[in-house]
Amino acid sequence: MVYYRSVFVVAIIYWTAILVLFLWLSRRLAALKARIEDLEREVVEEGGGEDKDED
Amino acid sequence: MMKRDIILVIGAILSVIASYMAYVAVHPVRGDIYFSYTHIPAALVCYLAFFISLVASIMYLKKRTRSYDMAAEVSVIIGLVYGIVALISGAIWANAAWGLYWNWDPKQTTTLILWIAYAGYIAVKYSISDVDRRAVIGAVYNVLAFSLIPLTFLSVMLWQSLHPRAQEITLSMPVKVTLISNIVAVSLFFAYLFIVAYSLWSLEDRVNVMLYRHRYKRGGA
Repeated sequence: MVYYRSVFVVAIIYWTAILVLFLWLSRRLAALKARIEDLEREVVEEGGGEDKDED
Repeated sequence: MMKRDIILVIGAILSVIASYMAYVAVHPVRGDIYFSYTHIPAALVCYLAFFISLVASIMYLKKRTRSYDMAAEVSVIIGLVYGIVALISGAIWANAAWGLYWNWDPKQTTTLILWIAYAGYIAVKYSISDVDRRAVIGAVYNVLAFSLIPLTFLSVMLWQSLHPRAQEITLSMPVKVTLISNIVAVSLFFAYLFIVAYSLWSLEDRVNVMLYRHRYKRGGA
């Protein structure tokens, strides 16, 4: 007897788990990129402020 | 294409070949063997991930380098995902072979305990704010949690179990080749996920250090 439906469900669970892991990692990467951009903006703003002070 | 992407491509190609062999080319005598192609690789990779995290934790306790702590954490997270796949696929296989999804079989029960113990590792780590303290406590916890792995292996010998012992399983050569192909494919996926997650964790750590230094400098000035 071959349990086609159950085997299919198991395959779906496996690939869904891998996909969820990928999505979670890509969301963390997107959040990290946003933080880096914030940091860069802060540095640029401060740099600009310092330039103005020097002027 | 980066080097790690080559692992993904090889894993994907091998996975397609293994799936073709599993569901089209090879016809096993027992129909429920089909479950083994997902269940066994997921369980083995779960154990492999926990073993890697154990080694990384021991290395952390020895050298106190943050990278080992991150490797241990990443490995446990991926191991937990493979672990849940192994548990669910095992339950579905158990229903097909033994008539119930959950039989409180020693193997099922000890594997569930192992999974909960490692979920606890993540909970412990994320509940401590101090980075160094979190790493040390996490590493010690990890070493203790790994002691459950021999129990899951020995459970089929120590107690009466429906789960077959490794030496009791006899498979035909085509089924063996298919299973090994699946194990290699799943291991390659694990390797890729581990490299990607570890790189991400390292980057996050570097950004955090930079942010801290930047704000400290600004606050001090």
